[in-house]
Amino acid sequence: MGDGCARALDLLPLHIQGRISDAGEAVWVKQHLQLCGDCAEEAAFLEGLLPACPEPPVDLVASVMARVEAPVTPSVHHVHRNLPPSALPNSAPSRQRVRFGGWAASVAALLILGLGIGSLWTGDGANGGDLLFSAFLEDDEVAVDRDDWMVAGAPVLDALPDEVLLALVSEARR
Amino acid sequence: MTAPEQQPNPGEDRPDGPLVQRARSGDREAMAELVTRHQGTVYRFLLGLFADEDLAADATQETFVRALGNLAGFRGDSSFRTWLLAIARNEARGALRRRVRRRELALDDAPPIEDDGVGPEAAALRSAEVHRIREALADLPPKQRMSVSLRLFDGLSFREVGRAIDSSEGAARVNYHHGIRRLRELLDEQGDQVRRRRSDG
Repeated sequence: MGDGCARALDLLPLHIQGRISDAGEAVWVKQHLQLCGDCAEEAAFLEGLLPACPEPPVDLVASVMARVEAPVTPSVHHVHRNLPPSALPNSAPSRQRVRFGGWAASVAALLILGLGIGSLWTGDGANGGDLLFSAFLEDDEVAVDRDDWMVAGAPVLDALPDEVLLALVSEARR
Repeated sequence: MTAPEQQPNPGEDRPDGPLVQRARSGDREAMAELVTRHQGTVYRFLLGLFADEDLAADATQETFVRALGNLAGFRGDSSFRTWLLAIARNEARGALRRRVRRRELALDDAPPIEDDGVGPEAAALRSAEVHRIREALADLPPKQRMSVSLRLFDGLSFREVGRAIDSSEGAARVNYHHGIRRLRELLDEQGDQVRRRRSDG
């Protein structure tokens, strides 16, 4: 590798898409590619990869906007639609209901994660589960929930009626 | 010597700030434009993480719904794109939960290639090549896959890539170059296998 190759290789992804904003830098890369066969070959290889650029679903913008324009008020029913109404607290003020909904979702997520993690780990799909977990396991920061379920302190599981907890566990096992 | 970071983002020519301001005040067109601008980057980042198109699409949608609902939380300390990618990292966990819940383990089929006016034979060859490259990409370790995708397809600076994959700028650069080298090896191996099958058959 000759002088400047490391710099050129860093810039090639931008060069092949015309994204180098500094005009002098852009000229430098072009000149380097005329002189360096190895880097020119690398540029051709990278160009060959571009058609494989994955694109999001064509209806993604519409789907997002539909949800943004029709916001759902968070509630226990929203979080767990399958819970019988009788299993839900019916006397709590609305503010508490929202917070309770957050707790219920968090508890359910933890239960589901705990119960389901084995099947992913064993990798019967083998097509991303292992990669997924390796990505998460090497990333401690991601392993911290961003939701507000720990912000106010430890979860107040005592506040959940037994029938709600049982329903959550039952649902998680399903 | 390392290359100075570029600003390859389309946002360089079209800064996000004014759009974000409009979106904050409830302008739906501005919101849709923000999604349109950044959906590809967010989707490819999540695809790099999951190697699963359905999961990546779901998490991309969740990311934008979350972001647009919390625009007040964007303080402008970083670029809007960097902020979005941070939300995407968190939404990835939500997608994991949904995956566990559904017990769905999606196949890694490449999406159909859109008709670009070329003949059927050329289209088939191109489709096969695209599929081959995506398979090789899916075989990369996650951080290499994300680094390659964000740098090659979206032109992020190594600093931005590093923030997205929770690594340093230097580590992002190394992951990118190792990923490209590994990708070349995988594609070469695939080519050798095809040639062997042809000669055997």
